[in-house]
Amino acid sequence: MLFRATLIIMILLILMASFISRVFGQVIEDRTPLFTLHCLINSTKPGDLAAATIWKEDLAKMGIDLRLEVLDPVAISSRMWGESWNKRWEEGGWDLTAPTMFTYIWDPTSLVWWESCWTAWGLLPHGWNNMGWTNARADMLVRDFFRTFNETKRRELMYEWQRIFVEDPPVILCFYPYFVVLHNPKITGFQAWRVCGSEGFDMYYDLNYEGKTEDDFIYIKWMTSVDTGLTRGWNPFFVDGHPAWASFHGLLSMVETEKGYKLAPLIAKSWEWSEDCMSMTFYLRDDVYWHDGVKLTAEDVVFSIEAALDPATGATISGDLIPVIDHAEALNETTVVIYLKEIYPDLPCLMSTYHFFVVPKHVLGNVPHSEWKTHETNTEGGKLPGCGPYKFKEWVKGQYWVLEAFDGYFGGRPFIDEIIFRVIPDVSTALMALEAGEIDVIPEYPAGELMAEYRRLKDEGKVAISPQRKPGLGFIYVNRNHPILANRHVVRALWYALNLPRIHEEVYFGYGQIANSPIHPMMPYYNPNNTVPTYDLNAARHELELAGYIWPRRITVPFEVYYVQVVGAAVGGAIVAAATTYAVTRKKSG
Amino acid sequence: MGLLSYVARRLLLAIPTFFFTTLIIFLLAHLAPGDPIEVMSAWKPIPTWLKDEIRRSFGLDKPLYIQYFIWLSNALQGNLGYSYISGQWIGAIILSLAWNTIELMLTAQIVSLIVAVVLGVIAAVKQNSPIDAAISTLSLFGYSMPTFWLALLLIYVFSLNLGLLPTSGYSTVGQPFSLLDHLRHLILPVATMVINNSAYLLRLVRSSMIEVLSKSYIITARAKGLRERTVIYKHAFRNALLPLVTVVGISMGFLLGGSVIIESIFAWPGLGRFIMQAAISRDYPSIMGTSMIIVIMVLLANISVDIAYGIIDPRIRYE
Repeated sequence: MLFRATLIIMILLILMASFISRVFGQVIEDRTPLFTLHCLINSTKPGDLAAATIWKEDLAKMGIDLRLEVLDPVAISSRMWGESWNKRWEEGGWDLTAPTMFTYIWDPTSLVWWESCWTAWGLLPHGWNNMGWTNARADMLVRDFFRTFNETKRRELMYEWQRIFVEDPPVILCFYPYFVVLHNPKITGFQAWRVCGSEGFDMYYDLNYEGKTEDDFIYIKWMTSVDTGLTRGWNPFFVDGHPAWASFHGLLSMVETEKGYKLAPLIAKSWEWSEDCMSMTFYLRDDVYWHDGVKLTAEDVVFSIEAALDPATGATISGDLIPVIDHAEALNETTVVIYLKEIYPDLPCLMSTYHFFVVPKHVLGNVPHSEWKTHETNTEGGKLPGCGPYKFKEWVKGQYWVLEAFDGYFGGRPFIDEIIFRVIPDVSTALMALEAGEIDVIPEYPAGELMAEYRRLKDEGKVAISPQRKPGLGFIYVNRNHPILANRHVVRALWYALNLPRIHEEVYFGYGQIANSPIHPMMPYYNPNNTVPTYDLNAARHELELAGYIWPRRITVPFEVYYVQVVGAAVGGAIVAAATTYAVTRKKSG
Repeated sequence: MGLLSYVARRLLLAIPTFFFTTLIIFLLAHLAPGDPIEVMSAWKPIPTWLKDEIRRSFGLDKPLYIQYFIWLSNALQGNLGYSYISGQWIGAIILSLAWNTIELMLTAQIVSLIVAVVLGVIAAVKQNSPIDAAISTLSLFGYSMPTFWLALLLIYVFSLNLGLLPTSGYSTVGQPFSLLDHLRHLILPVATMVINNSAYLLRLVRSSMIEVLSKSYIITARAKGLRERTVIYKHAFRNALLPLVTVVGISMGFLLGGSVIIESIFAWPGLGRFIMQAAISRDYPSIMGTSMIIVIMVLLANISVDIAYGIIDPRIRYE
């Protein structure tokens, strides 16, 4: 009887399990990542790795697997701008870069830069738009901007461009980094660098030394991590470093004012457009001299422009000028006319230091352009006179070079008599050298990983820290050629998941400012009201949903799978029950 | 004649070694991703058409084997070419920097040998004594210490805290060059290299001496009543030198490799730092020219060691 009852219960259990599994299929969450992206990390920047790690943690909460790939800078450059520039990481290309890997000085008045970086015309191999960003409306705004002289209209165009930039982002904006200079407390006068680009001549020109009188001879020792004379040369056409910035000038300078950057006279005292805006006349100062005493004239300017326009020179500054300038002409000793290939309102900016330098015709006039790089004027210090406030004095290869104040400088002799650039490759050694008084200045771009050490030195009264306002921008490059990143909602989701406030505090010790526009607040046409995605994982998930990605995925286990599991469990339980019943029955029956 | 033919054989063997090594370096340099044009455009972006123009002017559009043979034929004629990045003639760079590296290495090697021999012999003679234990512990410490960390530690102690020595550099900037000042700058980088290098050599000398001191002819010498100093330095030491001489040649190569770190931390203007910069910049002529000189230096060092070996042990050169 008991056995029969057990048997009936067994059959009922099996039938019930079958019924339940048919009607109520189990739903489970699938937490496997939606997709994997690879983030390039510069091996020389530990801060990038720390920032990317924070980002990785948050992306994991949204189902995105971010792999951190640490590479040296040239390997990164090869992936991003080489033959695989438009391919994914798995195909030898790239997906993303680390937060603030790139900090560019943003010059919104350079057409070449804009077209080459941010428009369809700039797609590789023609330009530098390796993000593959193509937005027809944005392209049109850029084109109109560079053909409009009306400032109100230009502002409107730029404001709209900034809005589109955030709506369909080619990059993820991070910070406007602060740059700091550590220095001997007796040195004062560190101001914002005036030249849009690298260090300007004003960085040295405005310095004072506490207690120094006109009769005292003072030199300061400036730390530099590389010997630019040995590694890059002395001709400003090929170099991007100290000798050029203190010794050579463009026609104009970009000056930082309270309201942002403005162009200021330098070698040229004034400039004006022609009626058809296809040429501009520059009126030069009459009191500019080369360091060897020869007077600078319009012939030097024309000569320099011709050299920059010749691809055979191989100058890095050529790329900015060749697409825009047709030729130049000297009307007299102090008047230069530059003729354009097409209307380009920002020609004066191209004639400022960083984009262009004037070199002496009486020294280089007989040297073919193709030989400039290997000529002694580039390879040996002091052979190429400049016209800036400091002139070459001495160079000991691999150790240091010395610039001394130029008495004949048209702006007046600098206060500091000599600047000795001492080569110290290792920053830890440089810090100890500064503490020991062997050097006076360490420039740092940007304020970052060593801030804790800087603060200690400052608190002990050994050094002073001068923050520098510099129009730099740190951002994450996004490969919009990637099939997943081509969707702007995915990029915006990544942006929302980027915890910039935390990175700002933990990695960069609060130095810098979170960016809201690709244009720096110090630069013209910056829109302070431009809104950007701020850290919000819910908003990030929403953007992913708009892109068609939902995480975690909810999966209904197929009937057949569940059926086997449940029925198998029921059968197993029934067998155990039957065996128990049988054993009990046998025992009872003796 | 035996020694001369021995030397000639060694020199002949060095030639294929030289070619093979330069070929390997050439391939490695070009196999690394990127090229010098990419580096140049990192400072200031260059349009692609201009990059191609510059590549053509550098000959980088030619096949690799053509590039190598062009470089080799020029190098064998004494023309190491010009830096792609700075335009500097490589020969001029090497002439101005090589001596600094040689000075650093030779000084470190000589001091390492003196320290290793003195301490190694003492440890061997006083085997299993507290002196031996102390020397062994010190050598282990020196051998285990990472070079860069040791360098920074020495700067911190002797320059920053005690103020006895300068932190870095070849000489005091802003003052006329003086030998004494230069020697003061030499102390810390040499000390760093000596601590690392001598630790290993010391162990070798110790074990070699222990082995020799157990030989029967040493026992005979002692039995003959010779002074202990004569037994050790006249009979034992020369035989114990052989393994040390062998290792000295190899250690020159390691010292040259380690000079990159030392020269970077101490801002020593040498070839090691320059070649590191050249490698980062993918400046192929600089990499090849400097590597060639370093290869020649190592080969000559090893040949010298082989010759010294032959002089110390006449059996070697008559094989």
